Amino acid sequence: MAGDPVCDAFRAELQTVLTAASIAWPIVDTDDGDDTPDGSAPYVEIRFEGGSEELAYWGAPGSNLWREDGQVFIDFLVPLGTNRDAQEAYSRSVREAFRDRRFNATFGSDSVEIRIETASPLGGPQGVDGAMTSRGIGLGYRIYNVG
Amino acid sequence: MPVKVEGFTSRQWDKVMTPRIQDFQIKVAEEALVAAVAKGFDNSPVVVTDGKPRADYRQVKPFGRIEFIRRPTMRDAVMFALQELVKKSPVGPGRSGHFRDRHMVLIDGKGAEGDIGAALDAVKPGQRVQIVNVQPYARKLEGIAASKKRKRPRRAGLSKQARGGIYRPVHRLVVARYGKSLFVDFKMVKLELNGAQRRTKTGVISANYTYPALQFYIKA
Repeated sequence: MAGDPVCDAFRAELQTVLTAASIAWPIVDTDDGDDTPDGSAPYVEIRFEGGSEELAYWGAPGSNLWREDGQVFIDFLVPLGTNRDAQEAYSRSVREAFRDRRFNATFGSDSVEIRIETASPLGGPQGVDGAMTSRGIGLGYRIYNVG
Repeated sequence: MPVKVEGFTSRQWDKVMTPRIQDFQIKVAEEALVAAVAKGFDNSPVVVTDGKPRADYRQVKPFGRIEFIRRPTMRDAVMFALQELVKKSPVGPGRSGHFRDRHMVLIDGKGAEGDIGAALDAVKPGQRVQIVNVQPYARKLEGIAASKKRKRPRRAGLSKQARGGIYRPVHRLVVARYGKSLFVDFKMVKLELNGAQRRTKTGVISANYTYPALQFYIKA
């Protein structure tokens, strides 16, 4: 089942980037309330932390142009004490791949461009998820919606 | 008898005076900014020209308006978040201290001491600022999001005063307000303590518990 077009586009693009960079770690869907994910192998997590939307230009009713600025976090989680070098290298290469990247989200029959405005290193390791330690990157994106 | 016009026509006036007025406005704006920066104002502010954000101020209309707006800082965002967290915090009997009074600011995992504002002003890109609540039941107050994968339903926050939790709603507020200049993240975190637990006046802070946290990073 398709989810939110922007989230779907990000998941697909992340998979493309991981494949291109020969990173075999799976993308695992966890949630913030869960502090004990499976800690046996490294994985990548993508989180959508919301954003804001404001009117960019007036149009006919229902056809106004809205500017959405949002933020997405990509975490590279590894079991404590392992894979540190790969974690650092992977987070850097994924960040560099997303820098100023443009890709499309599909809304019905329309294709709308998502533009990555900022790609920031968020540091690490952060020993926060059970027996896992994470290193993250933050992506600030912009997309124009009609509505 | 020909009509004789003396002095400027309005078109001539526009042609001669418009660039001069613009130049004068730009000069005044630049001087005002330099003076303000010397007094500590943001040296790279957001420029609003004739109501248009990030438009070139050199294109200002005659008698138009140039505004320099300080970029929101880490200090603004963290102080706003703290204020909202305190407002939304439930207040109970307080036998082991109040949740409301136990929001802590950490910079790269270490408690910010002394002048928190000054410490936040000194935060550089790549550093992590956290607001963490270290009350032992803070996690229960926050509740748990549903997980299809684990077949776990959503669990509401423990307090009737804040069923939707405290940190999650404040996180949404902060992202909507400061998301353009900062990354703001909500997470359940473990604290980096030397040893399994630390006893404080109001209870025990354990390294084995998870605590709700808002994390702030500067967008590079």
